[in-house]
Amino acid sequence: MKLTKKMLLAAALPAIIILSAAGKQGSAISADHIDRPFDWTVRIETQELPTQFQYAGCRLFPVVKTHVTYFKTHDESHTMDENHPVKYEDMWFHGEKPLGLERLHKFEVERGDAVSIEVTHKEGTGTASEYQAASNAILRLILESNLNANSVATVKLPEGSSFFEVVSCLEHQGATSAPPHDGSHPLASAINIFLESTPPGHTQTLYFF
Amino acid sequence: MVKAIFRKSECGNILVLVCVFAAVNALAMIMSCSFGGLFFVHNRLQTSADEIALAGARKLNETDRLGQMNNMIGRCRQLVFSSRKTNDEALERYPQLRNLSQQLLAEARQSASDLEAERVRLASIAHDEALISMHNKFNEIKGSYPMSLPWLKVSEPVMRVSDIKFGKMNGAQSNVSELKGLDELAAHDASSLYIHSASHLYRESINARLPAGSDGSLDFKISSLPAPVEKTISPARVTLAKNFRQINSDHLPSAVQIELKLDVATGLGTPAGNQLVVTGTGAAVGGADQL
Repeated sequence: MKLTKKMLLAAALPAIIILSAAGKQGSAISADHIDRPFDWTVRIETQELPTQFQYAGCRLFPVVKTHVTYFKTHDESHTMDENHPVKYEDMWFHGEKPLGLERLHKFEVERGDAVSIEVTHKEGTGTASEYQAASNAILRLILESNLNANSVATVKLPEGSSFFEVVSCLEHQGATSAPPHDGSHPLASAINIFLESTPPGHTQTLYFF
Repeated sequence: MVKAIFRKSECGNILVLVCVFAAVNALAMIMSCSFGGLFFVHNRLQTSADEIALAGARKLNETDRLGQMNNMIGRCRQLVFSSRKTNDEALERYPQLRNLSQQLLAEARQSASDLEAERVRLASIAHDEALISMHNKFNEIKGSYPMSLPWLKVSEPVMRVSDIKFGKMNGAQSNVSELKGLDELAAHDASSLYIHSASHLYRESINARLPAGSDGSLDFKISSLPAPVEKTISPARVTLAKNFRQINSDHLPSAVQIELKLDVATGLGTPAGNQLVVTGTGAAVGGADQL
């Protein structure tokens, strides 16, 4: 039987359709993985408390509260997505100094998954106290994530003064941007912190030894 | 003539009787004025004592500073405990993270010390402000007392520093709700009887130390303060003297009791003097939930 062009085309068409669909899905996954290379988001929301310890002579005023939640970045069941985050813990700070913690839930991020830490300020741009509190909260969450075998892919900070101030606070607490190195031997940092602004515009990598 | 004499001696009997009864009535009225005046002064003095105690009680937990301190102490315990567990795990499984974990633990422990130092300062601040408020109220009131009436003499009331006591209300636990987020710590708190079983509040006047170990020496002193009931915070109020319990200076005061003394004397007949003594007790505003 002669194979005509039409017969060949008819045979190849399903394959072409299947392959193009797979290609689109692949590129979608690739694009999504690039945009959000993490499985979970841990969100730190800072809020200054103007009426906490509000008495003359108090040495712990002002106090900032950080409300920490986490959610699955992709949650098809929508039980643990951004609209239904898990309330993990609240912390209170005076500057960079933590004052208290209230654990609300276990850290049930699946071991081995990557997380992104995201900082937001309840009242918009944030204050100096909030930047200090956020920096300490970031370090504590990075440590807890590492102990749970979760790599912290990125730390997202609001664009503007928040980004630069939090970076500065992290450096004040021991993280370094350019470790002193003469190149004679390799350096190994305990923690690498990749910071980026939201919306994108600024990035910074800090190292903790 | 005898009849005439008899008629004359019957005249004037009523007048004498009226005069006698009038004199007796006058005496009775004066006595009742004296006793009534004493009763009135005593009531007035009690009201003044209550006002003074209330003025002091209001100052103690102004802006919920005592309640906030109690709540923060409870949460500082969780911070230190959690930081210790994290550090232990890092040392055991991820030694390369020890620098960070030890730094964060040291911060937490330092915060516990700083918070305790601030708590001691707050006790002193609250105590002093309450004293000033009570003395101001007393000075406002005392000038209206002295009076000198024929049947009653009243002096100026006296309130000495030694007549002022700081304490707590009997039966009032702390305002800190049980914190259950850390299982091991919650179990320790339950076994150490830190938690009042009926109300699920931390007990009053305790030093809720962490489990024996490196952090067992840190102080976490939680004081008595009425907790909110269904989001309702109890106002500062006058209360019965028998419900007051004096505390040592180691804990934050949530109630105050004062004693007022007043010299009185009757002015008629044999001079008789006495001293009225009344006690006023005030409880501070209750604590709110942690912000």
